[in-house]
Amino acid sequence: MSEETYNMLETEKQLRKEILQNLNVKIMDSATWSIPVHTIEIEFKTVKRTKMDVLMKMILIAFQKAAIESAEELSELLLVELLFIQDFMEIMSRTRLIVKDEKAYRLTDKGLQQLENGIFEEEQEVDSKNKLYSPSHSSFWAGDINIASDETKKIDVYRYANEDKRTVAQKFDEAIVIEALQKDDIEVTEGDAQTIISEVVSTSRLHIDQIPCIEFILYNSEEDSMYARVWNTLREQWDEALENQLNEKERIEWRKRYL
Amino acid sequence: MRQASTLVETMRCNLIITNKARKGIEEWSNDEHAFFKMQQSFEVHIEKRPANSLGNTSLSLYFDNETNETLTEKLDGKVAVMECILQNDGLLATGFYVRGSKVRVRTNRRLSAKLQFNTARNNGTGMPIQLHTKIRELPVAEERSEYVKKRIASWEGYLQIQERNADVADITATYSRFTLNEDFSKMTLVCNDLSGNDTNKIRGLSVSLKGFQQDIGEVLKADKSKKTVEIELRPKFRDMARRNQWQPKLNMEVVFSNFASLSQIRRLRKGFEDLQNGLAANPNLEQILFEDRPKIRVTNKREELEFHNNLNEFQQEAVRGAMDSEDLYVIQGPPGTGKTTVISEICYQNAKAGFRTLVASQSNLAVDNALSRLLSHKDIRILRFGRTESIEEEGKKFIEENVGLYWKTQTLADLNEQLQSHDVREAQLEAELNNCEDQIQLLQTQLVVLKEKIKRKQQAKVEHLERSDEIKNLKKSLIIVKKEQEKLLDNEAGLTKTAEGVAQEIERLEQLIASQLTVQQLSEKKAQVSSEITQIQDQLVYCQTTEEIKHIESALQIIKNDYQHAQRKKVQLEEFTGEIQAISKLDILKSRITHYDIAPSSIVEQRMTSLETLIETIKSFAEWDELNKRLLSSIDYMEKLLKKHNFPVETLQNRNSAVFDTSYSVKEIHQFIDRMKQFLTSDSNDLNMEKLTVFLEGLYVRRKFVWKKGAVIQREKANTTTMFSAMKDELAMQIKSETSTVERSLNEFKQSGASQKQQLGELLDRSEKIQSQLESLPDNLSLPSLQLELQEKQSAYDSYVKMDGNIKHYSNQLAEKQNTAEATAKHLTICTEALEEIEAESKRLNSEGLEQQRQLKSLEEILEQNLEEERDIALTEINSLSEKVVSLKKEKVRLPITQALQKEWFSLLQDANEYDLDEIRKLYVKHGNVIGTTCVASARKEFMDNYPTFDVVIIDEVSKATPPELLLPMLKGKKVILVGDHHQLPPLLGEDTLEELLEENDNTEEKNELKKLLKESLFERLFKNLPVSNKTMLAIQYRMHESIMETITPFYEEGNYRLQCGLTDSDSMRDHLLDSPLVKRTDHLLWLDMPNKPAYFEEKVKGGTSRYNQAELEAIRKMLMDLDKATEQAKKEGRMNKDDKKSVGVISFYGEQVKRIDRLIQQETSFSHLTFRTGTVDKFQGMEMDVILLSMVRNTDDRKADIGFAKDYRRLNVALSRARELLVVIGSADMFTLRARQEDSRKMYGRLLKIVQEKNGYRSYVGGNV
Repeated sequence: MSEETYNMLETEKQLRKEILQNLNVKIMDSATWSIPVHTIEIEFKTVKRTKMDVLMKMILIAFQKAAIESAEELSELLLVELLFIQDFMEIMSRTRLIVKDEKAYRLTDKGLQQLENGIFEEEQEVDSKNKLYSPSHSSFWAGDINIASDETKKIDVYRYANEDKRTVAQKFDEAIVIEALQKDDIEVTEGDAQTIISEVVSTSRLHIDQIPCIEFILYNSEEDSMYARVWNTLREQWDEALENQLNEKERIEWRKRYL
Repeated sequence: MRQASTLVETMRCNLIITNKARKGIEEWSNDEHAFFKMQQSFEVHIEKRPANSLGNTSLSLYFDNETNETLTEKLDGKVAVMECILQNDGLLATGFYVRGSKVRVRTNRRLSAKLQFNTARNNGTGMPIQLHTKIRELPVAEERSEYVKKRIASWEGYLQIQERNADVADITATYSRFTLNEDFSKMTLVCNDLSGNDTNKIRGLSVSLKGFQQDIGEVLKADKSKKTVEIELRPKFRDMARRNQWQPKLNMEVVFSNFASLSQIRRLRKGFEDLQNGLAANPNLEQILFEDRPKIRVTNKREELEFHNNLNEFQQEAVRGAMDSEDLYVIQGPPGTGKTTVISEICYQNAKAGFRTLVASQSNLAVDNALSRLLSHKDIRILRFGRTESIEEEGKKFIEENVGLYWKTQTLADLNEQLQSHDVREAQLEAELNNCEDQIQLLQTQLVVLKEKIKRKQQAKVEHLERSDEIKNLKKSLIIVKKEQEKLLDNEAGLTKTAEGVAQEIERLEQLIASQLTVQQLSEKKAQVSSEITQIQDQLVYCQTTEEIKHIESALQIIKNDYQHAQRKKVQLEEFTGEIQAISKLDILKSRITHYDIAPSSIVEQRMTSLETLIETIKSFAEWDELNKRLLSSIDYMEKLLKKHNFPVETLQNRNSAVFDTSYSVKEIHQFIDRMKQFLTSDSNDLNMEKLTVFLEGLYVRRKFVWKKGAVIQREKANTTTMFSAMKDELAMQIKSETSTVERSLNEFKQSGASQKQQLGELLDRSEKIQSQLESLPDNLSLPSLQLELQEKQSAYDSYVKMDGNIKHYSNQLAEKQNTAEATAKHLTICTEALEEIEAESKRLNSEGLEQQRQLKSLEEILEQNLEEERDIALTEINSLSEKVVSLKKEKVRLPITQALQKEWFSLLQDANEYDLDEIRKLYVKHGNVIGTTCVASARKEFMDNYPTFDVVIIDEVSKATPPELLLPMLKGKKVILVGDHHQLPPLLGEDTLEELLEENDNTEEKNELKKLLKESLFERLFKNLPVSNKTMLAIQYRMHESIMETITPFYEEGNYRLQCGLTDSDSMRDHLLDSPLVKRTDHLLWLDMPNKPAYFEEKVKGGTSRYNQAELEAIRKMLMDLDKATEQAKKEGRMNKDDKKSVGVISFYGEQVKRIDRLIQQETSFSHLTFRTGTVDKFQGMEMDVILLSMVRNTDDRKADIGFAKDYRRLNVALSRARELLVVIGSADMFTLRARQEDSRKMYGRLLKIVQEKNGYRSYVGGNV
């Protein structure tokens, strides 16, 4: 018995104990299986730019590029509430970033300077980051897989594992990828400048690991209910998504089989 | 919290300071003068206090701790209060102190004023009269508060119930074991040391474990017998449990604390206090809430609104009413009538008007529900306020931390839409441009044509003039011809008439002549008549002569008689003359006169009369003589008598001469003597001498008179004889003259007789002559008849003569007329010929005129064309099109700029990071104009600080909230709009309805209190009492199939009000598309009737009060399986989309049944085509599903049993009105329609059953089969 297997058994034992703390609950069945988890390398670009909020910036740009005669006109152009626009224009007029000539508003030198500062961007080197992705959950996970063991390859794969090649090869939605990256504190703010992920350059799968999970089928006699508990060893928690999948697909079957 | 708008202008006021007040002031300043010079003026809020013992008006002046900047700085934000007495010439400060910074300065009871205090002695500033008046009008704040406090006491019950539940000290217990449920949402602790009493109290309390700072959740329920406590975990702890990071140690302490509910009650209490202290945003609120007839400001303003949503008439009315009313507006909205749409529209209208709106409701669910259905419009900025974990998914995007993202999403969507339309716009612009240019081209060519036409028109004008003249001339000659023609016609008519007249005349004359005698006849007749006339004239002469003869003969006779008479008279007169001298007596004379028939002459007559008088006088001498003798004897007697008495009589005789001229009648003297005799013979012997002398004296006088009389008579006698002879002479003279007269007459008679005799002879001659001439004389010839005959004959003759004249005249006339007739005929011929000529001429003229006119008309047509205007129109159109082209070109040029800017904006916004969104969030929150929160949360301090007041507060699902809960958001609104339905369920208190609490409660006093509260529904009362302008009912429901709606319409019938179905075609719009053994396509309303038999009876959980019904659960399972299959079938047959699911709600009156339904659905069944929501009827209020199964549970044969909560019509109303397409009632019809205790309940369910039966929806359920 490998250390790993031992650990697994220990874990299962511990979990059983916890479960059975509830005297009304019986473990009707249990199983150990694995889910595939992909390690994806994400290449991305960041930019460093001045901190200026996007609406302010856009309003300055609009004054620079178009002859705007009134707040209403700008409101219609940008589809932004008149009140917001008026707020900004008031500040800009007060701080003399804009002035009104004859008909239209224009940027003052100061305003132009401000805009230039605002849109100044310093492109950074391409960076990369590895992220875990579970097709069974259709989501990225934080963290790394430390152990890459052969042992786990021997156990069964989760019966509803989403192993379709197409899904594996899928192109990820950039927003999801960026969201996953953002969780790693890549975007930082230093003083007046901020670093922003500007582009996902590429995503590529490095390898697939099998992550063991321990499944318990439980019966609560008090409530006359059957349900699954699945311990995800990678995330070290009861995996709600997998539990729900199993409950939905098999509950009727369990009642027939175990009761 | 009243707005500063009530501030009046700065007023100067005299202020006198007492020593006590000065002391207080001197703590902050050197002296009062310095203190009140700190600022030019002070904003103060004046509160009136009850009058002091002297009857003076006491005031408290609260110095505003915001607007009085200098003072506030000095006092470090604290509030200065100055106690004053109101005096005529100003204020007398009697105290001054400083209170905490949190003391409210503005309230509805205080008068805000800006005062400039003058503290100099004898300053004479006084106090402005208007300030004086306003202070007098101010209510005594304490009294007002006392009033509100009194009225609000009726709501105390709600708080008391909640407080009773909450008023427990922290309960500590030790748990020996814990279990987590399937999804880690609930934890069950086993606490052996928890007392039964405490077990009852801990429901709803927050739970904290030793070692955790936060509370882990709230107690759902506690089981006394099992010693278990079920806790609903906070999400944070759910996650921890799932990650196995949270393993509470066993045998540790658990603390149950009522902190949360107490803080809630505190907030409710504070609401009471705020109202009491006059802190409502609308000063009118206290009256609105407590007066039976709330005094509402009614406005007549009706602003025209432009609705953003598509609203029905009732909804429009509601929105208009809500916008126009002041203070309060109430909307009663039955299920499915679009309350949320109305709320959404009101929010939109408020946003447009620049108002900030609070949308509040009793439950988080209702708030989120209302907010999520508000339209997404850039002018509406929705913010959801509340504890994130208690906010439902649909409300989460409006939480402050999410609004940046929400805004980004919205704006991006809008931008995208515009960008998408840019290409279209470009094409549109191009097309429009082309179109415009084409149009211009077209117009230009039109213009050329028009110009040509205008030229032609001008030519036509000239021609028109010419033709017109020609026509004029033609017309003139035509008139002349016509006149002539008329004249000729007249002539002809005249001639014809004359000819006719003449012909008639000729005819008449001829007739006349024919009717007359011929000339010969006439002369014969004339001759005959004239001979007749001669004969008659002869006869007439004879007759006249004969007459005359007779006449003369009679005259002769008369003369003869007269002669003889005169002869006799002559003889008589001669005789009388001879006798006269011999007659001596008058009487004899008289008789002879009569005898000879002589009329005495007047002188004779006179003489005879006077003679007769004389004779009469002579005759009376005898009487006087006799009287004289009697007088004498009487005198003698008297003289003797007197002498006897020696009376000297002689004196008397002498004396009497004195008396004379007295006359007496014989009779008088006799009477005197008689009287004397009587005296003498009377018995009185005492003869008065004196009397006797008087008598004697009288006698003397009378003797004298008598003697005188006697002398007169003697003289008369002598006269008579002479008179008589004179008279006889006279008479003889008269007779003599008469005799001569008679002799003259005799002569005359002789002469006239002779002449008459001669005349007679002549006549007789003539008569004889005539007689001989006339051969024969008719016998009876009379003069008059002859005269008549003669007349006749003469007139006959005259007429013949006249006739003769006539005939001659007629003949002349005839000849004349015949001449005339001939002439007339000649004239006529001439006339007719002329007429024919003229007619021909007029015809020619006419046709020529017509021709000319035709040509004129065609010219006119040309002239009529308004070519100039057309040209002008074309020109202006070309101009406007050119302008449009310019603007289009401009837009075309600009479009790329706009597009580029929008694109840039889109990408910038898309890349917006946390920082950007945070900036936007700040803006959004600053300008947020629709804020959603629960009633109770609206009183949280944090919220109060951010949003002290709202222009409009809308409270949804009002009937679900208790009055204290409603009060909290109401306090914040300048205007309050209540939306609800008092025919739906009343509020819950915690987990229980008031009725449940009532059922569980053993304390009669509390029971009564609860019953009272049950009756009081603030919403219902307000709805009933408000004026029409401040309330409305929505009447058109869009949720339910009409058949389902019919089950609840009886609950809403009131006056003219009827719930209507707004679905134009219920069957197609609410088609559930299912067709199964249990449910046909046409079924929308079913009742599975469970038999009222033991196998189907209700059961009660051991140790609990709630009930369930196993048989109904079984029926539900069957029904659901049937529905699932039917849905699958509907998909197969293409009626439904593959991915669609039927939403099914399974509801019951009983919580236990719901729990079992949940288990049934989760554990025992798996439906791939249905989605579920389960719950008690009470919890389901406000929700709707395609299909609803309603499990009634109650079913028993226990006589004492009743139908429980199901008897409240409001609960039944909610239960029946959740389904859109199909409602299935599962329960015993007998139980509800026959066994229910109250008649009202039986009727209510009987009516429901009847409707179901009418819809063919009744199914009996026997032995597990339908």
